[in-house]
Amino acid sequence: MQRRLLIGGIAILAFLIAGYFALDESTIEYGTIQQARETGKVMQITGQWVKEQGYRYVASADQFYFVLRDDQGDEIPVVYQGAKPNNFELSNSIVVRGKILGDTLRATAILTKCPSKYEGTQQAM
Amino acid sequence: MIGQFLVHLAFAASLVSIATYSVSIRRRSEEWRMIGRIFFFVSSVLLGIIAVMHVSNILNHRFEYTYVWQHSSRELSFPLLLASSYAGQEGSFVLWALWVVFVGMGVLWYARKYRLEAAVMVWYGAILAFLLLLMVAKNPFAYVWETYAADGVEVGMIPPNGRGLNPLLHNLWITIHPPMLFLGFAAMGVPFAFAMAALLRRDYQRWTKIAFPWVLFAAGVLGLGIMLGGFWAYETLGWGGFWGWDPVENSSLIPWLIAVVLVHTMLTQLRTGGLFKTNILLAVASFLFVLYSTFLTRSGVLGDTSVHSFVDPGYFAYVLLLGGMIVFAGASISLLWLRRADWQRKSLQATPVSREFWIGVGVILLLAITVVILVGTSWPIFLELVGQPKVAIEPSFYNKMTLPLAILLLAVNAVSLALRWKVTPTDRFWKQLLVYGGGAAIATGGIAIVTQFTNSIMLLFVFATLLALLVNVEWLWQMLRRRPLLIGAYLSHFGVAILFIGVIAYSQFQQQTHLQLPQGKPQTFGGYQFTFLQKEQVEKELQDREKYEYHIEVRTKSDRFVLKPVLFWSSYNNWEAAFLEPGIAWGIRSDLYIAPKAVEVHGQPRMVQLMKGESTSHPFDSTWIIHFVGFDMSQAQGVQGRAAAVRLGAKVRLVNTVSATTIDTTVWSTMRGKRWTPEELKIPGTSLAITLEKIIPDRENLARSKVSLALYSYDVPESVPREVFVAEITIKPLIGLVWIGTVLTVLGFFVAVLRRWREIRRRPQRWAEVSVNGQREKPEAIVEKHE
Repeated sequence: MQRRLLIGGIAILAFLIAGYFALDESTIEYGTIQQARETGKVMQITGQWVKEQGYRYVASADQFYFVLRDDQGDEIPVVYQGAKPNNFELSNSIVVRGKILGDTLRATAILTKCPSKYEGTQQAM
Repeated sequence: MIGQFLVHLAFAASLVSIATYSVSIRRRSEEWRMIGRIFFFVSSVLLGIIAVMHVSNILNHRFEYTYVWQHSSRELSFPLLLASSYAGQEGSFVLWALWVVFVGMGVLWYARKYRLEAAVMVWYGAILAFLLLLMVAKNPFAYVWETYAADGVEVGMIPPNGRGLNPLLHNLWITIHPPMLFLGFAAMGVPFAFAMAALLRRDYQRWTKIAFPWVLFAAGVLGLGIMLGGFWAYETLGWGGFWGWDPVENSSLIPWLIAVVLVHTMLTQLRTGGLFKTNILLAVASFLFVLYSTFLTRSGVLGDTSVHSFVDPGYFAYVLLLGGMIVFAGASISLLWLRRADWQRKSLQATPVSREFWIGVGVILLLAITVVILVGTSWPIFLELVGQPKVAIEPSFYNKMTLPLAILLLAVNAVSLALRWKVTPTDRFWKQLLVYGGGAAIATGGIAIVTQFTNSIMLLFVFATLLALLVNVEWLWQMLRRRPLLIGAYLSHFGVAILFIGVIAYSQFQQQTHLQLPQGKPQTFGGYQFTFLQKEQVEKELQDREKYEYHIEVRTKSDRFVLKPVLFWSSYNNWEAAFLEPGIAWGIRSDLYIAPKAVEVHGQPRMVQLMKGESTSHPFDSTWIIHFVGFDMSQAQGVQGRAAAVRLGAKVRLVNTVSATTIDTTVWSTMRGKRWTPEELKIPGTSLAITLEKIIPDRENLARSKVSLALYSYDVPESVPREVFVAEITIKPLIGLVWIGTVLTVLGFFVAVLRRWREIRRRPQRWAEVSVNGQREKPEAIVEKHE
């Protein structure tokens, strides 16, 4: 019985330690463009696509370019490896996961958030 | 008005039902029980009426209702209209409640047979009451002028058409996946209700046998629902995979995993009498996690951590969802606390050479997986609660953590099946394990050599999977010959092993590339040759979309076929961006998956802008002069609304200065929102062509509006605008096994339901007897006789 408890205890401890490190490693903080620039870490930045600047998809390189404005009002060009995400134009807010290298934000993921309550309801009706 | 009133009434009736059922428990009174039953029926019938009204509002396009306006439109087909009845939050509660009513009727009838009606229906009725309360808060019958009062919408205003349903949802799967998921959720309430009844009655053995078919049913249906979601993502949404560890996916997986654990621990209790505390706890937890899942996906707390879009339901609904969770958790915890005296009993003692011991180990592993997923999904919320900065969890966390647990789990499954209940002669066990282990090791070695695969942890995964596969195949074979009704468990485990083979092959050996396919120019990848042949417009009769199938010819050494991935524009997003659907060649050895990314137009035609009366010579043959005579708006009449596609023309006179030919004709283009779809006009007898790219209106002076024309010649190939189809092409080996595996797993559950159902029906009296405070049932009577 003692031995069984010991084995179980060790297994649980090992699992918890491994879990903690894995979680720590997989955690990505939300931040602003400024924070991402200062820390140089991969971050999730919430903001908006600057519509006036448009976007561009370069098929030969499979890269998608646009300009992101974060909630602080800072702007940065974004390069995303991949095509334009679904619902990109529809979204009123986007979350870009990536890391700032030089002057551009290298994005690994883009989440688009669709407007929940449709703005301009009356016009639409 | 009447709809909302009925919701309130149904809610009140469900409360009366709960109250009278509770009184009937206290007084042991059949009269009170009858009143409880009647009010449950009243509540159910009212809900049925509510559901019918809700659906008929949608079918009759009653856009004065906010829900109908937000989620449906006149263009939708009948199945999609039905689907839009649960596409929104309010409607999904209606569907869920409807399933609760149906399942509740069954539970009521079933529980009566075992004299558990009141004790069970108090709890199951509480679930219905909770859903009705949510419907009071999120009323599906709100009028647009109530919802948008702040925006100044006038009372009595009826919008001509609705917002419609997101085009991504326009397919068969939306009519199957959500209803299945909600049936699963409704069924998950049954084990909870039985466990709570067991606590009420202090009868901890009998309920496991009675509730067992329901637990299996719930696990089967919820599993099917989750699987259909994965298949949908793969087949239509073009997400490439079937599982992305997205919070929404995870949140329904958690209660399912607990239900699967519960199946195993209940089985152990049925065979050995042990684990009765565990079973009560797990049955309660499985339902609480259904509520937690609802809370995560409906309250908006996950905000921007998921690809699924979340709707902020408003503060009241948020509080209700949170409150509901707390009330149900509080009720179960207090009842558990009240019964703490019963918890002092001896728990299961098993030797390591018994099946129950290894099932116990497997259960712990499965719970560990559940905890990993739970922690990963809840971590962002937890950190926010304790005031830490907001974070997100990368999906790699789940892969890293669950992989070793899954390997162990498969091995444990094999070991436990090689053992008998209670005690196994060790020599026989070692012999068996040696045979299976040897077989799996040789097969793994073979695979490693053939595929040149050296990743050691993955080879371990392969080994464990094959081990489980071999053991289960052996059992399946044995059972099929002797007692086919008993194959459920082995079928499910066999399915899981098959599923994992698919997962391994898919995650380790998939080949992917990014290809640009200009029309008619072949490209090769992975032994295939791809050619974009042409595009074909489909569903032309529907005005709200412009949908094209891109015919991609695929050639191999011996074969030729055409895949048709889809790009389409929709009025839903004002024609701004294309929606995409993959083209898939299903195969036994591998799937070929073409996920469109974009369509680009290459080629440099000369662009000219002309005002009415102006002319230009064709840049590729200056003997042709193009006069812009005026606009042709004849086909632009009578079309309006968001779905409008307006066909506009530019009347032109084409004059050849050499041959003195004159042609009067019109170039056409169709405008949808900002999107123009030109139709090519060829100058007869030449290789010259003209398209109308767009019209540039002059708002001050309409007479000064311009047309933008593209001019090119087929004698100058680089001038011709040609479409280039851009796609990600993936060869996914053995991914079919993922689907076959999940189907078998789910099928196993249903076979087990059948078996357990028949078993208990054969001797209902036995289970109807109230045993004395959880005194142990003699397990011999129910022991399976196949060993």
